[in-house]
Amino acid sequence: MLSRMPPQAYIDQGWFERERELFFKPLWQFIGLKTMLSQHNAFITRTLCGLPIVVQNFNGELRAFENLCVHRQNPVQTLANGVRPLVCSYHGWGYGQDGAPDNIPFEAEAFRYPPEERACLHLRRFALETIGNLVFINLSSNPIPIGEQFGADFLTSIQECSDAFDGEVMLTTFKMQANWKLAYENLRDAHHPRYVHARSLYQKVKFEVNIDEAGLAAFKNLGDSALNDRGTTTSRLRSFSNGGPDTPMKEVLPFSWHDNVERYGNKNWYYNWLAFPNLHIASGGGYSFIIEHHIPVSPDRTDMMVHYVTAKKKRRYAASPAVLHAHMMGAERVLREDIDVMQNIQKQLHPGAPSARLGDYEFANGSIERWYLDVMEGKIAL
Amino acid sequence: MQLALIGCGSIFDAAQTAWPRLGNKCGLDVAQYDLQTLPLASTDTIAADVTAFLAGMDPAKVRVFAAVDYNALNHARLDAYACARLRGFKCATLIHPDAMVEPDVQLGENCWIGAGAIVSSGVRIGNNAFIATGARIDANVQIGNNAWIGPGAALGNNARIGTHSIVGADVKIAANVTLGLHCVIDVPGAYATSLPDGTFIDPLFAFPVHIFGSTVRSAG
Repeated sequence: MLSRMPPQAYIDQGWFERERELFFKPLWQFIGLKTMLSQHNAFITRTLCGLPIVVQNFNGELRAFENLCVHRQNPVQTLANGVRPLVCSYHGWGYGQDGAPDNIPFEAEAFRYPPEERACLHLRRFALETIGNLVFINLSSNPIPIGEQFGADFLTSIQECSDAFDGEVMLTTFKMQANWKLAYENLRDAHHPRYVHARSLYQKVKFEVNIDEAGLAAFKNLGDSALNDRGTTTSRLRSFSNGGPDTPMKEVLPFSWHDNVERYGNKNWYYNWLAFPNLHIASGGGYSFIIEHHIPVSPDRTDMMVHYVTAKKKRRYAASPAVLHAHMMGAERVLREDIDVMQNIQKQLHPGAPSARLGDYEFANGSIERWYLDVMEGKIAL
Repeated sequence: MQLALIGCGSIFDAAQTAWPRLGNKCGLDVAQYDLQTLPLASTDTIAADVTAFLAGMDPAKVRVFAAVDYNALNHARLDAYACARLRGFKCATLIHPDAMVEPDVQLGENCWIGAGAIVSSGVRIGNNAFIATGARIDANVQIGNNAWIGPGAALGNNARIGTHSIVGADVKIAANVTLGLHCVIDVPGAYATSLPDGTFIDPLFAFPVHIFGSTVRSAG
């Protein structure tokens, strides 16, 4: 079937900016791991949809704000992660958990704001939800309930898997010169590993193409009919996120450190969770997890933020950093193979490029693009 | 007396080659030792291999030198070293005859100082730390246990290198810089900024990799 996605969806700056407003801002987006925010004053900063965001722990309560001091727009937190009160280093303004300044040094002497102006001073706050160990935020002023985006079963599944994460986290960012959508399309393509990862991941996990004939038939029956009522819109959206045991593994090699962690599940399976639009979690055998967050930066640039964790430790062991390091080195090879393909595709795209020809096995991507284009064309809204 | 040389990699090869020329700079008079070697094909089962090799040996008559490069952030070498120590063996520290080590340098056991390395006055080096060929360690540097300083690396005065850290080949660490525990710098160049625990600067990654929330603190 001919893809409806025009090349502009991958290369055009105007499209990219419209996508931020119509598509990303109304959706819940992953922003970080709760274990990295576990103590009072712990924070992370990220840039989502071009907005600087800080998530800060206030005595156990997580809050998300725009990371700009209301005085002179200086970033309140300047590091990507840390433990520090929410205090701007420019003029010392401190903020409380409601986002209002709770300390303005020399306020009476130097600032002398009228009471009505003082009352308006507060950081812009965003909705935040935690599901297990995963922190999501929503940039809309009127966010949809997170359950409408992901569905109860999927939320339970990612809660259970992320509750198994250990608190020791390895984190890095891969810079990808490609549009973020190529990443989600690639992740929903079970046919590519035997070619792209022939000498790496596919040696351990024999991914196979399994076509859900009923789902395919339903997708083909959609035709061009208008599907714009809210119930149908969110029902379709929920169907894009799924996960759990994916493919049996040939074998899970035993390592001595396995005895030190509480394995997630007891299957020798490759687990895979795809949280639409841009979060991917995977685990080989439930001993360790990779959490990939694909952050759009521009039409042809995506930051792939990768967290690696083992399953929760039963006991401390000295070699745990070496275990994480070895996993990240292994993951780098597989990610690099994917990134190379996506960058090659991106390089060749141009405004007149032919559309993709999707096979039946790619109906999940076809279904997503249909919904995505309905949003981008204003036929449906969240 | 015997010296059991166990391991694989560049230091194992260098120690084996240099053995007839090793003197007694560290109190080990090699003329009184017979060399027994256990070359390992890999470090995957190193604890079991070392245990089997040492099974029939008398700790009173054998010293061990565990010679493994920086595999698994030096944990593979630590496995071999710890295995020998737990069985009552003492481990030797070996200094290449072409290394220059000031007499007041404090060296732990199972350390290696490679050919052409210069170790200056006041330096303290923990157990199981390896200094490779041509490295320069300036005055009063502290190197933690199980560390690796690569060929041609340089550590400026008063630098501190944390336990299990790796300073790769041709990496220059400025004076007074501190690398935390489990840090890796494997991109040649000059570094003048201290790094927190669990920071990896590696050619595979465009941006440093960091570990957060580590609960492991071992003595440096």
